[in-house]
Amino acid sequence: MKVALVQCPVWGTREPPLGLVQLSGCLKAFGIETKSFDLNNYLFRHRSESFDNLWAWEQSQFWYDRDSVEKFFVSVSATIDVFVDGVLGFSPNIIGFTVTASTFASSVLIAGHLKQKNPDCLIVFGGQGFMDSRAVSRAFAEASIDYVVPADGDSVFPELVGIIERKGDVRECLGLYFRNAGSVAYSGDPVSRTSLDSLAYMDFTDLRVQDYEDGRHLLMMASRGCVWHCAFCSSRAFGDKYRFMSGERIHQEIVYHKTTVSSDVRHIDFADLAFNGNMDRVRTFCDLMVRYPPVPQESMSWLANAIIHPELTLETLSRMAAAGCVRLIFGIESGSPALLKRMRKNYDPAIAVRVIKDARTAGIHTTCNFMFGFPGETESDFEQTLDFLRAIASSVDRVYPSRTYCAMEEFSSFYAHPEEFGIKTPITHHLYWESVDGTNTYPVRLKRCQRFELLCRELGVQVDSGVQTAVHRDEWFNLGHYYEYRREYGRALEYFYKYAAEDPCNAIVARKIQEISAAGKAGV
Amino acid sequence: MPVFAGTNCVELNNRLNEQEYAARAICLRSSPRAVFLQMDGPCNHDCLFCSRPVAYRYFNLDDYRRRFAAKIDPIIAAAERLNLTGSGELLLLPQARENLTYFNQFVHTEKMFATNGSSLTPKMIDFIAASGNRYVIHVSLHAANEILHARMAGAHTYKAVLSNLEYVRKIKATISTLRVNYIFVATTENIKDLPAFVHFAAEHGADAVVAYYNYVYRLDQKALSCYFAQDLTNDMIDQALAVAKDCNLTIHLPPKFHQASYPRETICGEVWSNLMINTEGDIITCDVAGDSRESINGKSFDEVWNGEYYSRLRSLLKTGNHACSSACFRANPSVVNDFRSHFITRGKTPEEIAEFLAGS
Ligand code: B12
Ligand code: SF4
Repeated sequence: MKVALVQCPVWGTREPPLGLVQLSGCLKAFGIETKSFDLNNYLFRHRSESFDNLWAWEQSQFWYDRDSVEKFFVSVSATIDVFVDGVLGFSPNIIGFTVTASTFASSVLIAGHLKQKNPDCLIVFGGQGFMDSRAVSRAFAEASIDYVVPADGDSVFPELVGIIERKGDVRECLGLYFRNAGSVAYSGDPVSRTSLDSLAYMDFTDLRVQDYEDGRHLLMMASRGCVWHCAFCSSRAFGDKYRFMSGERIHQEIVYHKTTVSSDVRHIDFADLAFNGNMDRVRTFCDLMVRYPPVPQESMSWLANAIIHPELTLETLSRMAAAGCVRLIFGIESGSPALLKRMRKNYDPAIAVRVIKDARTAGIHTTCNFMFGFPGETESDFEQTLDFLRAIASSVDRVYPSRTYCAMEEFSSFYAHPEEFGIKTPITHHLYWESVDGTNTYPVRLKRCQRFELLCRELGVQVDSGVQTAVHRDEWFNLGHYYEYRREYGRALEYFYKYAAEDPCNAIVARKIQEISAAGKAGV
Repeated sequence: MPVFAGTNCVELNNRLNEQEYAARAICLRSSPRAVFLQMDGPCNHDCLFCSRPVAYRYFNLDDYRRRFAAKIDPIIAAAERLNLTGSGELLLLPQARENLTYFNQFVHTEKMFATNGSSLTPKMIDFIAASGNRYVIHVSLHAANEILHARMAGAHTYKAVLSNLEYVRKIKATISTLRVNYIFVATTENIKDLPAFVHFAAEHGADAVVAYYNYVYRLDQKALSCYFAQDLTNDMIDQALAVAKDCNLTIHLPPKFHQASYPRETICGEVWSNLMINTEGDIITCDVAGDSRESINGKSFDEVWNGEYYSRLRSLLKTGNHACSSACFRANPSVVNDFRSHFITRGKTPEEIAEFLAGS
């Protein structure tokens, strides 16, 4: 039984897609012949100049629209054909697609092509996109799709392959949607792994680190889920519990990749939502990295997202630095204890100030993320955020003020319970939502972000993304879109023109001006 | 259930097993002296002569515990040696240390495994040393210089291996529970390096050199067999012996070709002393065994050990070694001159076997 794994656009191109390399490792550990194909990276590397920025983060929306994707695929049909033939050339019995919201449309289209060329291949969709159960029905509306796995595929997928191979009953495979007498049935929830220690290593045989943009670092996800449940957060994992690899296991995997994948790898990015969700594993990991460096006589650096934790003492941070930690990224979000509580963000800002200072002493760079206008944020709460910034100014290396200020993401708890947070319903836009009392609007949030950035400049704190010099441009760009959304086209044009005066080459803004003017909307 | 299982009984079991072998008993009260457990793992080498299939299942401790532990653990406890075999590097398994920790509970049983050396890192050596268990580690090097090593291994790990071996030597000087043998799978590619290899092993503090002839698994690897370079091989074996003598190093060498006389054939003892089990529960007596096999699934250990498969082989062996393999030079060194003793017939059709034999 042969399994092909496919990654469709749009996804990251800096390093191999984690979901795919993980699944490939798991399938191979079960003795299943597997080959991975990354259409996303293939198209990215073969893109023409006119499609240069399709992979930019802010262009993700393009890929959510099936018509746009279809048109794009038609325009690169020769490349698509080569790819499809490449997959079928492996003669797979089963083709698995790793699907998120941003890859759904493209996956459906490619699955259709494959099925058309080889109707015998079974198509399985899985991945984080199916945390949204509506995506399951959307998938089964496509005749080409046979199974959907809305769960961690580490054990479920090999089990499904095994059952198909021995022509067993797929209902025995928990965690599976399948077609049943004209409708769709679910086999039941799988038992999710409580520890990730027995997880097979990622497999980079087909998707080589060096074939991706960065080429010299390894991306690892050594835990799933988070220990906290912040109200604004949508980054959940299947199973919702925090599950992690022990320090021993993380070290073991790094050593493994050093000896197998590429000896060029000198750095690891941990994609964990909270690398230090369990402090014991961090200490063990660091001790092992110091005692048994993966590259003797050479350093191996790493960075991670972390939560503010009282056990991040100077001593622990120094151990982490000695183990190669060069940067920690903290989601600070606010300096107000009351607002943090409302956010269900479980830390004390005073401890955060201490941790950031100690990190600097230990030699670890820090990035702190902030958001503006979380429901209930008062002017006084915001002032406390500014005070917090002043307190960390001399020790923090970078701050990242959220460019969406406070986005209402689907699957977050404040999106699910807007009334609890005083948010006006129905929520018609994830960026432009308002509070019931009308005091918290998009422009209000934007203004706070600007004040925050101005203070950063005053204090000499580096702001991430190079927007430091263009706070006002950012304002015009965003407000132009905001007023366009509100159909206040005159005001929208005003902001777009202001922007264009300073950055006349910006294609997005030029197009907006043209669209609004051509439709004669501005006069409405 | 064998009489000694479950107690600290290695000595007693050994003695009884020897007696039962001497008597060529069919039904045994002793349990195997050596248990070979297949612990396949991922591999970072691609050796010229490797038999690894494209896809194979890795060892999983949870699976072992669930399916086999109750039947096999007592047998391991009474065995003299647990040989962790299989494809790939067991030290590269995600739970390598947990796996070894599990089997370290059988403190009286010596553990043995093979590695290409790149995964035998200081961390692993410290861990193995700290366990207090007796370990024999076979380091599959096959070459004593970087270029040949890269050619044999299909990987550029020579320097890493050497630095690991340096550490091994340091630790070995401080404990008595660790033995390290350097392995040389002799092929037409590396046979000329054998004397240098012995010298290298002595210099690096190996306990012994163990050289084997390469067993050919695939037709395209046939030309690698030393069977096709007999004079050169004999010559290298002589030189290797001389170097070993000079360096006072223990060496195990395969029989030479076309000698005037060979040691007398003995009755192979593996059917009395060995049990090899894989992750599916399949059981064979030894790695060159023929096509028949047993399975522990749905059976007790005793139903396997004294069941149809083992009993039949033991009775047949009373009449000569052809019972399991007519061409095994372990029991009959003179068959080294028959090409059939240089390749694995298991799983091959008569036509395929004929193809292997063509021209030899
Ligand atoms: C790391 C990460 C990234 C990295 C990915 C890097 C890489 N090379 O892989 C980067 C930074 C590039 C990234 C980008 C984006 N991301 Co992101 N990302 C994550 C994160 C934090 C972890 C995902 C991960 O890799 N997990 C580890 C792997 C092993 O797990 P996995 O992929 O889920 O795969 C497992 C299962 O899903 C399943 N599975 C997966 N595929 C398949 C296939 C089959 C056949 C089967 C049976 C099973 C199966 O089995 C796998 C093993 O258990 C998640 C949040 C989270 N969950 O923690 C968001 C997340 C996946 N990202 C998300 C989004 C939206 C994006 C963006 C589109 C954001 C944007 N602004 O538009 C961009 C992509 C656009 C672009 N241009 O790059 C969303 C997806 C939401 C959804 N419902 O689909 C998530 C869930 C975050 C969130 N809630 O907002 N992301
Ligand atoms: S080290 Fe062993 S398993 Fe790995 S390629 Fe070489 S012979 Fe094969």
